Amino acid sequence: MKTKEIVIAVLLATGLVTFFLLLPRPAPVAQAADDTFPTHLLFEGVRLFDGERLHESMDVLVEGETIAAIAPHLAPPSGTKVVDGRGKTLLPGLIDAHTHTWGDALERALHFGVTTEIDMFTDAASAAEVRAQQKRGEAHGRADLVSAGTLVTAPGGHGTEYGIAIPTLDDPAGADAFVADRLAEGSDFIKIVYGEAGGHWPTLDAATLGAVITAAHEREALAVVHVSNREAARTALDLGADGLVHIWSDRPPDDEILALAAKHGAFVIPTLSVIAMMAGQPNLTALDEDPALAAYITPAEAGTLTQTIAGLPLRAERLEVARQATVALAEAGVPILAGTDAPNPGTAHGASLHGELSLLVEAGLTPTAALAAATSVPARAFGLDDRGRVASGLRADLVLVDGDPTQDIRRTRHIVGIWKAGRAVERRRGDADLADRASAPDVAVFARFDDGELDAAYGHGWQSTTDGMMGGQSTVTLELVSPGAAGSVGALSLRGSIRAGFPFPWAGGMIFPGAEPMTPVDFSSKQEVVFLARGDGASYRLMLFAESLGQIPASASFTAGEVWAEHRISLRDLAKDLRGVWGLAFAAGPSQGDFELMIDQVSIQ
Amino acid sequence: MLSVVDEALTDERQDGTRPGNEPSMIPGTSILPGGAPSIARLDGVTKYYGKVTALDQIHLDIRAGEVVGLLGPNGAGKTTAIHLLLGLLRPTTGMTSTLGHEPWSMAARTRTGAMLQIAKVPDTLTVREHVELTASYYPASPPVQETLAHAGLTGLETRLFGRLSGGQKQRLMFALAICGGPELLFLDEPTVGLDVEARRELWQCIRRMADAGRTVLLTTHHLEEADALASRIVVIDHGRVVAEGTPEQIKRHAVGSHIRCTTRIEEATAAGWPGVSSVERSGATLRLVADQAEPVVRRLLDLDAELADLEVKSAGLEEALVSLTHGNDNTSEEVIA
Amino acid sequence: MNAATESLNAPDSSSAPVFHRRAPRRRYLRIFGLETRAELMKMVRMPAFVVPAFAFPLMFYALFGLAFGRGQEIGPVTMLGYLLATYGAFGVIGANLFSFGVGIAVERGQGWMLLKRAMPLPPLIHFLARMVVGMVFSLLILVGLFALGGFFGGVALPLPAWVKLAAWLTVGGLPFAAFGLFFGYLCGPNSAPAVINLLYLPLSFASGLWMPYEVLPGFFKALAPWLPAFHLAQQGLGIVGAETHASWTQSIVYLSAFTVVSLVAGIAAYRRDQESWG
Repeated sequence: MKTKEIVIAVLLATGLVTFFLLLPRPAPVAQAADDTFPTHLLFEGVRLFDGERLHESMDVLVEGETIAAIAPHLAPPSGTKVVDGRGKTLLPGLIDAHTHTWGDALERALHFGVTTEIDMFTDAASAAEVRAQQKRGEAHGRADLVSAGTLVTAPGGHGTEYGIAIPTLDDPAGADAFVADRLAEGSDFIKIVYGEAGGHWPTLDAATLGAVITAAHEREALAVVHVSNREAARTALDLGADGLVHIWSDRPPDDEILALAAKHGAFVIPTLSVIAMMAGQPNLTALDEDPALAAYITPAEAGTLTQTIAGLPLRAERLEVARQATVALAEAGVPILAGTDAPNPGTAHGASLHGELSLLVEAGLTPTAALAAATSVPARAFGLDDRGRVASGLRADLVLVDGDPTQDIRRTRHIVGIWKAGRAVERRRGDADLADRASAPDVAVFARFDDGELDAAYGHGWQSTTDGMMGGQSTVTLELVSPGAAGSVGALSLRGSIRAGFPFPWAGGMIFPGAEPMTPVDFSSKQEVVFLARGDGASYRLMLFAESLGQIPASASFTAGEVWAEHRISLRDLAKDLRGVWGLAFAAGPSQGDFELMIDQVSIQ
Repeated sequence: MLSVVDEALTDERQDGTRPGNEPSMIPGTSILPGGAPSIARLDGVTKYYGKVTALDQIHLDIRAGEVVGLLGPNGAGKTTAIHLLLGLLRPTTGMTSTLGHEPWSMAARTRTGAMLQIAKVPDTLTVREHVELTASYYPASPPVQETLAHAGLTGLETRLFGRLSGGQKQRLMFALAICGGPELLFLDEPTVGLDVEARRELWQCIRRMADAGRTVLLTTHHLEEADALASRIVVIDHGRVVAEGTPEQIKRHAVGSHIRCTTRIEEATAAGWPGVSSVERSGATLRLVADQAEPVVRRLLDLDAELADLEVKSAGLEEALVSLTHGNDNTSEEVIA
Repeated sequence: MNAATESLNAPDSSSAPVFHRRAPRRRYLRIFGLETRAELMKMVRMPAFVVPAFAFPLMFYALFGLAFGRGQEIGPVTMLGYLLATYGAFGVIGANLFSFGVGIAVERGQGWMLLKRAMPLPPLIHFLARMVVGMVFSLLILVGLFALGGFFGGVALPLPAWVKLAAWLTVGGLPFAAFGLFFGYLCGPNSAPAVINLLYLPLSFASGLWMPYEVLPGFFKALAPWLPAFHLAQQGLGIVGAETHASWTQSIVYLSAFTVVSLVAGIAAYRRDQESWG
């Protein structure tokens, strides 16, 4: 009896242990990433661009987060993961020197080998949060942020038009306190917007600019200046700016300004990507068509890449001037930094830095100089002494590409692997989010306005939308009116007034097809929007908001006359990629004045 | 009212003392006059449940080696008395002791065994498991096989409790009471609900324990049982002792014999005879109750030669109890109030 | 009665039926072994009691996890991983509440507990045995859940996390044994299952054991952190890698306090029960 019980107990215990041993464990890949970090990683026989020059064949050993050793031949410690480097080139993690990091910018950037983004204006509070996380080592899945936080601009000046309230500066007397506030908020450097008096935007005067630069220097902070024309650039350089965050593109360089820049040791971030857009050539290097990049570009990014700023007068000669100036500066010994100004129209975080490198080379820089402009040069310019080069003791921010980008700069797009602080980065395909996206319901009728409710067949319903969110003054009221078109019970009336205040004023009614506002829905099955309209005889727009269009909606206009008339607007003509539609709007504008529009029997089929 | 009892017991207790009154210096081990050592006692114990008096100043002594039948109708206080001696209850006033210890002490409990009026023990344990488990509680328990033999359960070791017959179930309860090798055994209504056959089998088991020298206190309102098992019977009702003696004494003195016959003799004539306590006629049939049957029957036959259908029945303990507790009516009302 | 006899009969801790100072330890060990075996055999042979308590968590998990929860994520973990912790807590609480609460109430009703009290069995040994059985029962439920989640639900955890989850839930279920003890002695054998279910099921819901805390209605969200089952589940969730809404310290302090309160109430109910038996 006794022995029998002991045998049973032993069997049960053994069974239990076996059971636990049999239970599934996470895949060893994930485990290696989590459990066995820090790890030893050896790049064997790799072509190395160390941030300044090329080494044909090197062994590079990474220990944990740090580059441990570089030599032609290294004996790796046991347990080292070895990466075969033959035919490939190892680069320092890329640095984009001019960005604005809204939303998931830093995550997106990392997918393309950009391990650090230098930010020229973002929400100071969220930048502070990101910095804190970086300090705690919680930023593995995204690029590091170095940010100016809130920029320095005049009341109503450039930088105030984005709908977030920021402090502004009036006069030189307030400069020191203003700079102190920025640094207290955590700003890593000071960015100032400076334009010519009498330009499109109100601007700081030269005295105030000078005071801000002086204040920054007194507090041992870098002062960089946004300029768009040569004379503004001259003034900024003259007043001691540490760098210009755009190249001027209005007039060719002259010797004086080149000498001035060289004398002050200032650097320049040309941002040719965004200047190309302003010249009417967004996505000049066709990033979304490059097979090496396309798979990782999201539909939304593809959308922004091909856009220009609506209403901006495009001047083709800008790009040529900018190229000339860039090369002339480089030849004068002025440090050139690669920066994209993402996510402006014509750019996308991460991907566009590869475009910028191409543009710098096309302008006349050597590929090696272009690579330096995205690695060691910005690191030195912004005092980031733990990165920007492949050297022992530095952070293991690394990009391994196939081929030799010092011969063909476009090889940077052929990424084999990305490591940030020694950790391998898992790249997600750009269409990964499309897999679980909802499709638009297979019903044609969207809204009839006949049952006394302002509702719709699907989605989040009707909302008013105006330029008020961008600081405009336009107004709109949505209400049901009776009778509707063709003897129906009701229709939707949109009344309001378009007023000056925002450069491209609008007001109207918006529908969100997703269950939540701005959730994209796959509209591939839809062809056109059919609706009845009548109104005051003015011209109105149907606006389509889709990921592939970036932040700027596509629109088609229609005229609402005295009698009800049917309008058919093809969605395909508005956007070729309808997989991520997140909004539709019937809107008045941009011409100013009161308006009155009625719509009924809206179908999306 | 106790005078009735005293009178009935005069030939046994010449000194007229009532049992259990002696204050004892060493609880539970006092020597009673003319008896074996007392091993369990209730000494002037009163127990209230709220306002209800279960026991009223009761004195009870259990002496080593005897089988005491605690007899009384339902609600008389029998179970309360057993629970007090087992330490399951504390007296409201008075003193309890079992085997020289407080009844709720480990020292007392390791030397007693009990069969209580409970519905069941778990159905899903076997006979052996039940006995083995319970025996493990006691430091000096006899081998399990021996206990099973004593309880007449040999051969049923692997049967689940739920599968036993009513009699077997009670015998298992009995086995649980004796499996620790107790010196003192409490049996609370051990045969309640059993048929005649099963009852007799359990009686045999109880007798075997008594023959082996174990002291037993058993409660029953089944009076044949006390008669069959007890060496001494204590009759209680409404929380008080109303009679005490050997089964024969109780039978003999409490009521006597019932005599029935068809006769012409007048009721009044018979009522005058010595020893006749009641006379009753219905038609030709005369019913008499007498202390002793023989002299009365002799007189009946002498007076009426044609007397027929004579029937003499010795009173059972049922009648004894009815009689004893009837006589206590007044007292009991006081007690309940 | 005079003072002397009063004091003689007054409850006396030195002779109360707990471990005796010179307890023969080996004998108590043997009692504990047999007592545990008996409680185990009762459980094994009583499918009517075991099956529902065992089946409900598994059934819920199969339904809300395997059938409807596939592909869903709650914060950093899959729904299936999440529910493993919450239904684990649900099962373990049930095992302890029923083993102690309903089990004791029913056996009290049958009179077995009274008989045991008349015997020289230290009650602590009996309760320890029941505790062990509650833990074994808990472990069985967890093994069943882990098998479903691991082999059919694609839940993968490092070995230490599996072991830690099982250990935490098994040990963390013990406060509910104390809670069950209280109701076992408070309730009658017929009302005990109803009363315990009336507490068990709503409290499980309100503690986020059925629906994730994240999606609980606002009122319950505010209530949950005051419920012991919430704390048991939250730390289980922490082990599977989900977001938690209580720190270990908070949960341990809360569950300890809950244990103490339950034990005090349980002992009071136990004492009351002893006095009321006639």
